[in-house]
Amino acid sequence: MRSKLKENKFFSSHEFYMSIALILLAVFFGIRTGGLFLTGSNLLNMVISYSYLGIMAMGMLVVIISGGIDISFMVTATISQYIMAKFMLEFAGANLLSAVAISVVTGIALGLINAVLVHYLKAPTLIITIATMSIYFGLLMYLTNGVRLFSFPAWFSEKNDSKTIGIALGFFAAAVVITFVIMKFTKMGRKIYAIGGNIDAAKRVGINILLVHLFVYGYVGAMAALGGVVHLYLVQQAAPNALYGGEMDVIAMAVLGGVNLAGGKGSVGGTIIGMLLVATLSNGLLLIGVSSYWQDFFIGAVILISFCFSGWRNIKNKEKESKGGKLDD
Amino acid sequence: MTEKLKKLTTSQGDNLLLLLILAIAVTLVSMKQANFFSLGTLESICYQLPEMGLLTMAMMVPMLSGGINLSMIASANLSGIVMALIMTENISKGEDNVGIVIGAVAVGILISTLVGLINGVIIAYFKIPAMLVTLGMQMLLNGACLVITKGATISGYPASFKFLGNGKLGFIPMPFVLFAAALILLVVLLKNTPFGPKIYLYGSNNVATGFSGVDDKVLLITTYTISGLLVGLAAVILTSRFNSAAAGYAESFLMQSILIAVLGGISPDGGKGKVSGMVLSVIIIQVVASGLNILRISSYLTTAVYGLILLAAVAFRSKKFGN
Repeated sequence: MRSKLKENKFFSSHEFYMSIALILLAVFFGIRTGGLFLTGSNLLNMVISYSYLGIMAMGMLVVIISGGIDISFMVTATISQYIMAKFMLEFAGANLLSAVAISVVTGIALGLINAVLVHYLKAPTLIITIATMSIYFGLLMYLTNGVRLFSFPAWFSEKNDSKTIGIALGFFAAAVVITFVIMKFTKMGRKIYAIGGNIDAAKRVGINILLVHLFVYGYVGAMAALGGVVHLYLVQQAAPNALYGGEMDVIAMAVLGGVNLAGGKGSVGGTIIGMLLVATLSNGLLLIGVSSYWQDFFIGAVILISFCFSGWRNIKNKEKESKGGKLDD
Repeated sequence: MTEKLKKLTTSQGDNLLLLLILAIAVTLVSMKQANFFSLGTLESICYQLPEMGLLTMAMMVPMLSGGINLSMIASANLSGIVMALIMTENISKGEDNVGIVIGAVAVGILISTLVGLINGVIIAYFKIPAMLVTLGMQMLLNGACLVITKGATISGYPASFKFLGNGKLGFIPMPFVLFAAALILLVVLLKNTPFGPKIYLYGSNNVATGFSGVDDKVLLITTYTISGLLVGLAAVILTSRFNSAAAGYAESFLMQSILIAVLGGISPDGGKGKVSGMVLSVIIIQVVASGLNILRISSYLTTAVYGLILLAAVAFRSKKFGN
């Protein structure tokens, strides 16, 4: 009976262990906060607060599966958010659809620049996106002078519970579904997994790498922009340096969710678990009364520990592989 | 003509090219400020250059192995904060105590070296990409900095500590002495010890190197520990010159160090890069920084310019790296 359980793919997958960790963490915080953590309203608020990061994590998932990484996405989100804010403030006829469209188009444009550079410069994507991040951020701060934008038209600034849930969770759900469908059911999704797994083999099979790059980095940009939209709605102001530094949270969500940095492996479900882990950790620590100064420290520690854990599992897998036998996921 | 062009692709030719770029940079800046090419400028460069030079060295060593060290600045900040605390808690303002200062400096350097060691162990034993490990470590260290300082800055150091970043040994600025000493040691390490060839081999082809009997765990741990040591030295100079320590300082230095390394010929994929190229590159960027300063370019625009230069350096180098 026991061995049958072990043979099942889900139960030996990374996602499974992370789910267990999540449940344990939730139980721990539930007990320590006298049940406060586990109340419906707290959990709902938690997911809403982290929804925008979760949206961005969907983009991050896709780019890491493709074998690359994009560090500039936070700045892309900020720029898209800022332009959307400006648009709402200066065009009387603006509405949600046009505003979101402007944001997403900006995000895609910035992402496409990354795509072209990644494709033609043939350098590590980390370095290229660090460069574009600096360019984007430097220009943003210089051109805006750090000025914050607020006081948006009523159709955007009027907040009520159902609207907030609708926008935050609605966009998050949309991002999740779209990403899931693309990665699982479309040719592009398979191509992304392919170039992440082995780019040379993908080339030989005839995959147009440029198109995939354009799609992937454009998608990161789009997701970043979408996350920026939700964030703007939640905080009701656009500050050029507000999101800066939050990159690690998003990358953590993807990596905790089991995405393999070498490419070719990762899932939407895993990333959602990763997002819930980061959110639970931050929210839980806050509720226990741990000062927010400790947040980065604990999340960093959890990330490193989870790396060690998945690294150890990978090594065990490789040993099993050379001895012959079934692999864990 | 093609003969001359071919010469440019050799390693001496590479340095020649960098020298040419340096000459162009100096000329351009001199056009804006007449006395740029002077002893005074040289001296101020010798004060400013070492911190960037040491950080670039700390970035260079892991890059040679095909990795990277993104936790550098966070580690330097933590060292700086701890050194600052030791000094300010034990030495009253206006006084001095060389013994405690030496102790503080030793602890600061030790902390960064330890961080490097831990990075190396996780990378070597758990086989996690350096980028991820050092990114996670950066988060953890930033958190540690915040926890210790609670957002405050710590300043007010005794004169003997300030001397390290601002004083002179004879004619030569003290930070430059430290930098030159570290540089010589690094060159000796890379050229005259077994470590040198091993790290280049590992960076070029880590699988083959593993098969050829090199203990890659020891190699990687050594690599990141050395990087940590260099970060510690940089932290001493940074803290002394800033005259304060806090979480979140010098964040832009991370990108700059990558820029300087790539421009200087260090391949991010590993296996290629010379100290001489790196040194020339540090000087070039220092001149560029001075030039941007003279032109009164805002620091944000400067960041964008550095990003562009990094892209240019990558484009320029990717042909050289044989792609």
